[in-house]
Amino acid sequence: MKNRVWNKKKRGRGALALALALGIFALSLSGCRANQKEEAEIPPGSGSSQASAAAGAKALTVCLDPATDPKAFQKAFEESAKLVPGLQEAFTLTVESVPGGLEMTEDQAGERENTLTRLRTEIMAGAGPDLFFCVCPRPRSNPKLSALKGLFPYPEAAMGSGLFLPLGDYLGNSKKLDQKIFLPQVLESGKLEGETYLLPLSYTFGVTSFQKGSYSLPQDLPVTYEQQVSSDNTALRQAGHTQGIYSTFGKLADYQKGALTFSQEELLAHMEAHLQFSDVSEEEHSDMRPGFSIGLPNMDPSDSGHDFSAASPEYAFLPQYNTQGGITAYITAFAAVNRNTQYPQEAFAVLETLLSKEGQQSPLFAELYGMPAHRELGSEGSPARGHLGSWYLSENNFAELQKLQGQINAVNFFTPLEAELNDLLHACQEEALSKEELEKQVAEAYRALTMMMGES
Amino acid sequence: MTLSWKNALRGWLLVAPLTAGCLLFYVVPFVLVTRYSLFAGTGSFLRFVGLANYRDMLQNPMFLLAFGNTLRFLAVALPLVLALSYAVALLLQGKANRHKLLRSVFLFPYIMPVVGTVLLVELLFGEAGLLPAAAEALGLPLTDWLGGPAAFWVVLALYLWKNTGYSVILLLAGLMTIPQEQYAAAGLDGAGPWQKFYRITAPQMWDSLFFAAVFSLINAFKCFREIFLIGGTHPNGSIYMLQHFLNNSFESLNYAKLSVASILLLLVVLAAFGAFYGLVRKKEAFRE
Repeated sequence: MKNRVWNKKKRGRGALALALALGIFALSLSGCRANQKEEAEIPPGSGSSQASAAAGAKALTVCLDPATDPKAFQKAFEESAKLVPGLQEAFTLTVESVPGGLEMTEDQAGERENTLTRLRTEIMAGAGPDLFFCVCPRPRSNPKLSALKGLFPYPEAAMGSGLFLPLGDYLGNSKKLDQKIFLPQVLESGKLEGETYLLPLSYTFGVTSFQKGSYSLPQDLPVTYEQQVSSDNTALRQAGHTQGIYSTFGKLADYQKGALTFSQEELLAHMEAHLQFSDVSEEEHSDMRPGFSIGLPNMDPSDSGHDFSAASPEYAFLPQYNTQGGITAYITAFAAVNRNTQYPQEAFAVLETLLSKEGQQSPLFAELYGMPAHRELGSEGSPARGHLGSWYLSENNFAELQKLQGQINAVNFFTPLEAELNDLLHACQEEALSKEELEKQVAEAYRALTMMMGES
Repeated sequence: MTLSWKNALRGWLLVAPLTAGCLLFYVVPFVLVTRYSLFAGTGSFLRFVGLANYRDMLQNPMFLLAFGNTLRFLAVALPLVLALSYAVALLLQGKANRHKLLRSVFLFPYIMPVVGTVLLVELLFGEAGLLPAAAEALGLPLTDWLGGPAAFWVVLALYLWKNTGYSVILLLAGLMTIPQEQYAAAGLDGAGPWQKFYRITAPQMWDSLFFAAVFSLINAFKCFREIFLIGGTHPNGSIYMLQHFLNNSFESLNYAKLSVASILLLLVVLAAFGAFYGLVRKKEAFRE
């Protein structure tokens, strides 16, 4: 009798213990709630209604990483995406923006980090957005601003990780997008072993401008960086200090080998040459406009106040040359398709439209830094898009720019490598350093650069 | 069903939630990481590449630096912390019961917040810290304690300061289980302090030592938090640890690299601790 009562009590306690364990487990799982993502579906364009969106339309997700004002960028993208045929009928687009930019608060920085971690985890798991439109964060001009890293900090290395859909076949069969509209060097930057993975949206390089006739230039241009900074010609010498230090090496890194293309000694030599620049006074050359990047915002008069259009004087542009005697261009924004997208055709249709001539004249490209990838845009016949409308260069100025485009022999993406080199230059410019102090700073920076290469 | 079957079933049901959690959060990720280390690509485009990722990783100078630094830190820090805490525990043996507050005091560095610890390190070793100021005042050569090769020894000292007390508590607990009568009997037989340690204490402390070693290893990896706050994402080469490499590689979305680094570290740690565990089992065999 006693045993029966005892067994009953034991069973009861066992059941209670089991129920308690399951309850605690269930409670702990309820904490695993998906974050509320900030997403927006692109509304129907004019002339169509929501009712016309076909039932079962394919749902694509686009990830925007603007590195500037996310709201303005998203609005511009949504406006531009209305050009995509079949939107709302054959497929819908949901836009997800990565928060934060160059002047973000600490809260925004935390939110950005969380969003990037989630996206990277999704991509690793074979999911994630179908399309990426990413701005490559430029090196900060003010060390007090946040150091920004994009969703893909090293786009060239990311191409080798199998993250992006090969676009070669799609480009070859496209009726809307002719590869010839891109500068060959710029298009090549998005290729790996002959296959296209990234499509550049915009690019830039640094120049100094001055009125034609006010200077005589050496006849044997282009020259190497070393020749430029030691030249007797003051205009040429000044142009050599346009962009800082990172443009002077050409390709900064070989991501296949995981190595930098320059040594610590070369970096020290370039730093010494750059820091010695102080011999050209502004009064003597007041008509010269040194050290600006081509394209937006510097060439749009509504943004910069400088006018290079029909009313402007005829300018000559002198670039900053690299060690190989050419110009280093930088991709400032690119687009790509997720390798694991379920809708590759539709994803490419979006790219195809936005990268066409009409697409590159849409509001999205007013938010990008530099020149649009379409090589005709920016001329009087084919103006580019700015914040307050179109902008263009005069026939002479555009021709001068085209001359420089032919001298591009290296194309990089803005990565943390450029940011590190830029920070190094700023740190060394802040106060006069002895040779030993400069060598120490260069050694530390080179060590960090080598580590970044190993991690990329 | 017989009673033993019922008991077994009840037992399995009771541990089912924990087992499910362990499978979901430990075993499955481990299997996935091992898989990623043998494949390239993502999602449904994974392709088997065998040991190619391992070959690439073993040729990556930054991985070798990080791996080497981590192993060097473990090889120096673990024996030191165990030896130090063993010595302190032996000194406290027999007196611990009378000074219970002392046992709590040993845990103070362990429970100190990470940021507070880092501030202390900056105060002592930073560019404007006490040690450089003292060295300058005495005319001694200046050392970059946190930005140079000396950073390794600073981090080691920090680890020892923070974790010795915790290991002392663990080893002291083991020492207190040894019957005092054994020491008394040995004393009567004329045994000296070294003989008492070698013949009585050491043979009965292997389990506690192994337990302390495991926790010291876990705490050694946790030291990354302080190193990160002191040195940033890319610190001096002497304190560039595997966690830096893994943390930074995650941003580059190179998951094969991450997986390989994790598996290689696991293999080394398993080998070392497997050997240690085998030794402990051999030493403790007398209890069976």
